[in-house]
Amino acid sequence: MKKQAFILLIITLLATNLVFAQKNNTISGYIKSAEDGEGLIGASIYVKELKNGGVTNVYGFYSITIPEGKYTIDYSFIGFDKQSFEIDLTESITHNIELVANSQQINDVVVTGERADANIQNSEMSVVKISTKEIRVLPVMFGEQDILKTLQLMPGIKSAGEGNSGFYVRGGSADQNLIVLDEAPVYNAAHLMGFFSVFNSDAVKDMKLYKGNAPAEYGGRLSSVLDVQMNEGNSKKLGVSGGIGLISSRLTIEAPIIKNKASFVISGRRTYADMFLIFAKNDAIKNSTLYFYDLNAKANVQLTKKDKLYLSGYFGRDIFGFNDMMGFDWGNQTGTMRWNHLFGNKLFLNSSLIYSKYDYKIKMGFGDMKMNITSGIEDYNWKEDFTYFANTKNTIKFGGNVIHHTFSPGELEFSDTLFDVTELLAPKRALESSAYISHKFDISRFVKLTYGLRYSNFTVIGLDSVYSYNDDQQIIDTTAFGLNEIVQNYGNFEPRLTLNFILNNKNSIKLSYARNSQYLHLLSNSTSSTPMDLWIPSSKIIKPQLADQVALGYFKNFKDNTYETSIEIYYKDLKNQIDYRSGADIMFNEHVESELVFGSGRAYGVELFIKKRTGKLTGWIGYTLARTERTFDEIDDGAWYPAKQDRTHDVSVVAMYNITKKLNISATWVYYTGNAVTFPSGKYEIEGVLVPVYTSRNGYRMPNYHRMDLGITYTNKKKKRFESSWNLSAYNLYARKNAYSISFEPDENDPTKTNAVQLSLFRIIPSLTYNFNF
Amino acid sequence: MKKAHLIYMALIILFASCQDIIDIDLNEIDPKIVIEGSVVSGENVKVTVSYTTDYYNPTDFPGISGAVVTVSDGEGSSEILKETETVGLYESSEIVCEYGKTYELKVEHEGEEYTATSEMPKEVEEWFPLFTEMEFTFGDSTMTMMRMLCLLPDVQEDTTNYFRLKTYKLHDEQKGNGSFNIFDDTDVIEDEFLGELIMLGIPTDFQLFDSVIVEVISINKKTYDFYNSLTAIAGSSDGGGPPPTSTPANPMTNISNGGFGYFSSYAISIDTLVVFEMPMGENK
Repeated sequence: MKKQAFILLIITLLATNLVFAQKNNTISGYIKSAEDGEGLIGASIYVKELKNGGVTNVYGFYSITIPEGKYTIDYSFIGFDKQSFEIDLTESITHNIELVANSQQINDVVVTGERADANIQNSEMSVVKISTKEIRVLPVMFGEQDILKTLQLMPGIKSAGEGNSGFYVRGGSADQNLIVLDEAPVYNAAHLMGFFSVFNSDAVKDMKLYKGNAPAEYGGRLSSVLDVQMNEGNSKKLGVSGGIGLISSRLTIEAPIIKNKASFVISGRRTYADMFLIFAKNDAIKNSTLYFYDLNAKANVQLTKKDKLYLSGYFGRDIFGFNDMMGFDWGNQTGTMRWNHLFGNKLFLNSSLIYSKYDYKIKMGFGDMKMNITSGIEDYNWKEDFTYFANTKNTIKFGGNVIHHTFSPGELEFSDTLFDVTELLAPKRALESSAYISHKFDISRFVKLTYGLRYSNFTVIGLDSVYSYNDDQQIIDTTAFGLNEIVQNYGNFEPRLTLNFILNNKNSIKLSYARNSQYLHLLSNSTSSTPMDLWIPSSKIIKPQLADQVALGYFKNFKDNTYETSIEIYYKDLKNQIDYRSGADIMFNEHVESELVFGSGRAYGVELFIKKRTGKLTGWIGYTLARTERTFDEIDDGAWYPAKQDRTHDVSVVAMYNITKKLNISATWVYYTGNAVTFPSGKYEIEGVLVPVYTSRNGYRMPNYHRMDLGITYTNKKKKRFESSWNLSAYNLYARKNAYSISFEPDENDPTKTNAVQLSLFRIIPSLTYNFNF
Repeated sequence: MKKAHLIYMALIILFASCQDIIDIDLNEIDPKIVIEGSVVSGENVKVTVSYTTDYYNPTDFPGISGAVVTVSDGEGSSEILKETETVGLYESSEIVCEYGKTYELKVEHEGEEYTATSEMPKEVEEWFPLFTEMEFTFGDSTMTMMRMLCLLPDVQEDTTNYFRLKTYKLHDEQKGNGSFNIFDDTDVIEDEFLGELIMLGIPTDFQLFDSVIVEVISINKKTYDFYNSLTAIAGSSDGGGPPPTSTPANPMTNISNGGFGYFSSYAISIDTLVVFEMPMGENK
């Protein structure tokens, strides 16, 4: 069998490489910031004599194994002063380093902490990183910094709509992005119908997005993985930072619990947009509430030299109340407990226990009538990740996890003078597990390889009732399953590979292939993300979604790595994609599976990227030319049609300019082809009701979208420890009326005529934010 | 969903938005045939044949005369329907519509043939109407609304039955057309006196002591699906507006060969009532 041959190949490759690791010593430790003790992610360790080295992992840990000898080792991280360390390596040692922030560069925009030519050297492609410093200066809607919106400025990542934090990666739908916050999946990353994301940028330390070819340690979604790490907390001294903005305020407090050993951080954010409602004329609106809040908390403690414990949590909720008729609140909760343990000095283990929950509650009351609806998803996840730092050429990661999912599609309580009804859609349970091995292998200075294999498994367990439907969506058979009985089982092998041919220090060619499977599916009864979107598991009827992606890229840096350019092409094949039958009802429907149709998809495109990394002017230009199509037997007789997120052209221009040390001005401009939409071509009448005639799915386009934003950041003079800055931004600077939706409505004066009416949400939105820290 | 509407409403009010009439080029299409045929037990068969028109055209749908419209009852009797004085309307004079028969429709026009079948469902023999008043508070204003409930004894065997409920005031010329209140009988309510019941309920604009007509119409699954997809698309029973529902598509039709519309058969149980209010709350 092909698959077995592949596994055998991996094992052989691993074995042959490990044989060489002999008579070597290991130097390992943590690299931290001297200022606040935060571990530095992706800091580089470079052994001058060997012209080789390594980088720190997400915990700031590194380990390199090299032959005995005298060495000079450079520790560096951009924005920090380089430290050199000379050693006569005769035995394995631990060497922890604290790097000092570079005072000259502190106001510069730092593009990434990694080495300047990382994009050329790494056996990684289709990866997007944006530093939190960039996020701080870029102009944003309402002055509310948002990592998800900044990400949308990169090629291959597209906005889900005006002001929306939802995104599409390489033609994937919004639910095909795995968004993890300290390893915990965030099931609904949107606040306020998508206008804000759940990520408070004050609490975010680092993030990385893989556009569909993540290494084998990641899995579960087809199109991308967004890995977000929260700040660890200042282990040196008390720190307070915050901001006061037009619609929200933020406050972060961090402090050591035991100096250099244990610290914590708490970040909170709350919007007060609904304050404006008091100006409303209508009493009902005046008495409404509409806000959200977030709380991020994290603590860590160094238990021994080899053990570190992290606890982190997120709690966020949106509250919406309409007079006293309706209350609607929704939100995510996540919790992660992580234990880092070092076996010897080459084997790093991270064990995690992860909790994640998303739920919503709707309460309605009209006079005597009362109705409550609740729905949600809840996960318990146990995860073990090993990293074996074999030597400077080989790093092996392996591990696995088991997630217990509980899907609660809905519970409805209804009561009025006549009835008292409780209806419960049976909850479903499933185990999603995986095992993986990944090998990062620098074959030579010119050929670098990361390859791996992931096996994922999905088991739906009872209690459950499985229905079979005929073509008319009528139940023809029901099978009942007992508690913990296996209802359905799926498994998939997911090979991953990225190969880097380094032509010279300035040029490289990379190739990657990845297969991903997805067992959870999001049903949405709307064209934009809503809190009522429903996650459902794979089942007998809903097969796991599969994607195979190949990508080829050419990377070139100019002028001593001042300019970074790349061109990537990709092709993605998607199987078992989901769409709805005409008139499908997915809200509170026990037989929602019978409302679905299944088909395939394909997405391909080319992404161009040029970035200026250093200097007074920094920024980038991204361009994507892409096509995304779907086919379903039930839609347009199986013809390929453009998916909603198909965007032919997508352009982003980002510029940041330091006029003086204190004054930074930034601007962004985006342009993209309008979404593919279905508009009517004809009409007829049934019982006096106008019925539109649709000729082809997504055969029309929304108007093209473009917008410019401008931001000015002024940093006040530092007083003792107190630093502060003002940020003035203007969203949609030239007040373009971009289409949020288009509807067809009868003309007011002549009802026999029909007009196309465009709704544009935002004209120019100025905002002012005051940020401080001490 | 209505709830989603409310949130969008609030958002739109919050962020000063604006609406503009814009030019969107819509493709012109060749007119397609639209067939609206109904077999009502105890009545003549009526079939309307017309053309679709371009979306921006005035709302005027040319009827088609000269089509050959044939209806048979699946048991050997068939009849070519006669064209009436209304252009595009065809009516039978002989066929008698009965429960259990499957009717076949054939429309021939300009060399094309469109067919459909529809099974006559069983008439609802017994049902009980109920009216309850509901109060809404919206800011300072309070609105009351009369809700009508129809209780049917659960007579179903092993198949699902489908219903449409029409209620309208005595002299209303619309006769409840254009609002598609449809139900199935999968949810059963237990009542200690009346046994298993199915409830059909809709809000109305009736006042106490209005004389109203209630039609409890048995429909078949194909008709139910047609109405269901029609309301999802046109949002007609919600009072219009663009609902944030899933992707638009044409309603499911049982007409073959790319024709639009539907051919249905129904059994109507009709009654004229005076709106009264049930004293509520005592049976709880």
